[in-house]
Amino acid sequence: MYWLLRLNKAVLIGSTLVIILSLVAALAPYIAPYDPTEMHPLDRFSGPSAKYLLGTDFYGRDILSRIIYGLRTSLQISFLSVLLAALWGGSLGVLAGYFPWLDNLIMRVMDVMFAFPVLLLAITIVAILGPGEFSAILAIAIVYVPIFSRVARGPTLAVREETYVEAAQALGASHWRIIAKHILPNISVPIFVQLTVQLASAIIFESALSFLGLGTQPPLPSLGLMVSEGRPYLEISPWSTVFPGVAIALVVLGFNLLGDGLQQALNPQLRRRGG
Amino acid sequence: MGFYIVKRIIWLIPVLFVISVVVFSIVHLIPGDPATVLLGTEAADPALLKAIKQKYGLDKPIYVQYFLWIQRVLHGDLGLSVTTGRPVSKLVAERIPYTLELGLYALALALLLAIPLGTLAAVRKNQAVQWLFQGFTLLGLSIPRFWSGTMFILLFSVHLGWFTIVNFPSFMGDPLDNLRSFFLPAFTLALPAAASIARITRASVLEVSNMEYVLTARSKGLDERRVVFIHMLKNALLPVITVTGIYAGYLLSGTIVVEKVFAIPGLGRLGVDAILQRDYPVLQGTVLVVVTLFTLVNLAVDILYVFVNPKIRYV
Repeated sequence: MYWLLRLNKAVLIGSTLVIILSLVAALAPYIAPYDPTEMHPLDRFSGPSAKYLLGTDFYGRDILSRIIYGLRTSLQISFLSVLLAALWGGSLGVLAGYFPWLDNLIMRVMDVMFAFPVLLLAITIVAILGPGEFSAILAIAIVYVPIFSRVARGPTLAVREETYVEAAQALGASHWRIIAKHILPNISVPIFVQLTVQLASAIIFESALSFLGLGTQPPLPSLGLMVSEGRPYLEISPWSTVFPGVAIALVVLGFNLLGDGLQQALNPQLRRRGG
Repeated sequence: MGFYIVKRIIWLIPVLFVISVVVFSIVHLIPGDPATVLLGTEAADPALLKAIKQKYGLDKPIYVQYFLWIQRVLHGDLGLSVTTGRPVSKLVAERIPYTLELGLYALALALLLAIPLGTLAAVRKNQAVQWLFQGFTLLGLSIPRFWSGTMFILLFSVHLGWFTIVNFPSFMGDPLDNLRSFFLPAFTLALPAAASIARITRASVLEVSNMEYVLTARSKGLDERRVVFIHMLKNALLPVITVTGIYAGYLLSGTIVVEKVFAIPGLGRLGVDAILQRDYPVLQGTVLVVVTLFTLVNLAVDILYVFVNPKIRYV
C-alpha cells in the first residue's frame, strides 16, 4: 500500500468533499430541518432566511431539506448502479480475459453495447421498465457494464500469461482458485479507481434521468428533479433551481477530484506526463 | 488500409442487425399486449385491436413479425404516432436538422475552446494558468448540462437579454440569427466535451514538448510561436483527434438534455416526450434513427482516423 503515501492534494480535497456529503446524505433524517415533502403554503417561494436556510419552493417545501434527502437518493442510486455494473462488467471481463473461447463472444456483445449512445440506451431501458428509481439503477448499471468489462479484461489477459499462474496450473489449481487467488487481486485496484471515476459520471447521469422525468418520481426529492421542478419559476424564485445544481456539482467535483488523484497516484505513466 | 475500411464497413452489418432487433423488441418488452402498446390506450375498441393485429402481423410468430417490421422500416415506414396520428418517419425527419446542427455547432465550439486552452496550459507553466486550467476542466466535467444551461438562460437571457431562446429560425433563412439562437444550447452542450478535449490536448502537448525535435527546433533559434504551433501542436493533435472522434457521436446523441432545457424541437426531445406520453411507435423510430446516425458517425470517424494517422497501419 505504498501508493497511499503519494496521495496528493486532489485526493485530499476530493475525499473530504465526498466524506462530508456522504455523511450529510447518510444522516439526512437527523440533520434535515424539515420533512422534505412537508408543505408550508404560507411560505411559498421565500428566499434564504433563518427559518429556511436556502429558501422554499413552489409548494413552500424547505429547499435545504429536499437537497439533503435528494443527495441521499442520488448517492444511493448512483452507488448501487455503479456497484452492479462493476460486479457484472468485472465478472464478464474476467471470464473474457481468462477463457479465450469466451473472449470473442463477450467482447463482441460489449462492442454492440458501445454502439448505443449511453443516454439513449438508458432512456430506452427506462421506457421498457417504466420511469422510477429501480429502472434508473438498472439502466445506469447496464450502460456501465461494457466499461468495467474492458477494465477487468486487460489485466486478466496479462496475468494469465504470468509464470506464477502457469505454476499454479501445473500444481493442479482449479480455474476458480486461480481467478480468486491470482487474478482478482490484480484487477481490484483498477476496478476500484474506475468505480470512483464512474461514480462521478453516474451521479450526473442519475440527475439527468430524473431531470427528464424518468428517474425518481415526485413528490420524492431528487436533485435533478428539483432543478426541473424549479425551472418554470426561474424568474420569481431562482433558489429552488440554483441550489440543487450546486449540490450536484459539489458531489461530482468531489468524486472527480478523488478519481483523478487516484488515477495519478496509481498510474506512473500519467504522472510522468503531468496529466 | 483499404482492407481495414472494408472490414469496418462489413462489421456495420451485424451491428445494425442487432440494433434493429433491440429496437424491434422495445414494443414486445413493454408489459402488455403489443397491439395495445402500439395503440396507446388500454381500453381500445376490440375491432380496432384486431385490425392492428392483422396489419402488423401481431398474430404471427415473433420472427415473422420482425421480418414484416424490418421490411416496412427499410421502405421508410416507421408506423404512426399514437398521439398525433402522423407518420413517425415524417416526425423524425423534421427533427433531424435541429439535432444535427446542435451537435456540429457544439463540436466546433468545443474544439475552438479546448485546443487553445490546452496548448496554453501546456506551454505556460506559471501557477495562475495551471490553477485556472484545472478549475475550468474540473468544473466543466462536474456541472451537469441541464443545470449549466438553465443558469445560462437565467443569466444571459433573463437578466442580460443577450440571447432570445424562444424560437429557432432555420439556418437557410437567416444564418446569423440562427447561429445566435443556437449559441447558448451549443455552448452548454460543448462545455464537458471541451474540458475533456482540453485535458488531452494539454497532456499531449506536454508529452511532445520533451521530444528531441522540439529541442532541435529551439536550438536552431526558431521563434517560440513557430516551435509551438508548427513543431509541437501538429504532432500533438493525434490523440486530440481520437478523443474528438469519440465526442462527435457523443455530442450528437447527448443533445437530449440540452434540447429539453432550451425547448429545441430535436430528436432527443421527441424521444423523451414519446416515453412520457407512451407513444411507443415514435420512441421506436427515434431510437432507431439516432442509433443508426450514431453508428454511422462513429464509422466515419474511424475511417477518417486511418487517413489522419499515418503511423498506424491496420491489418
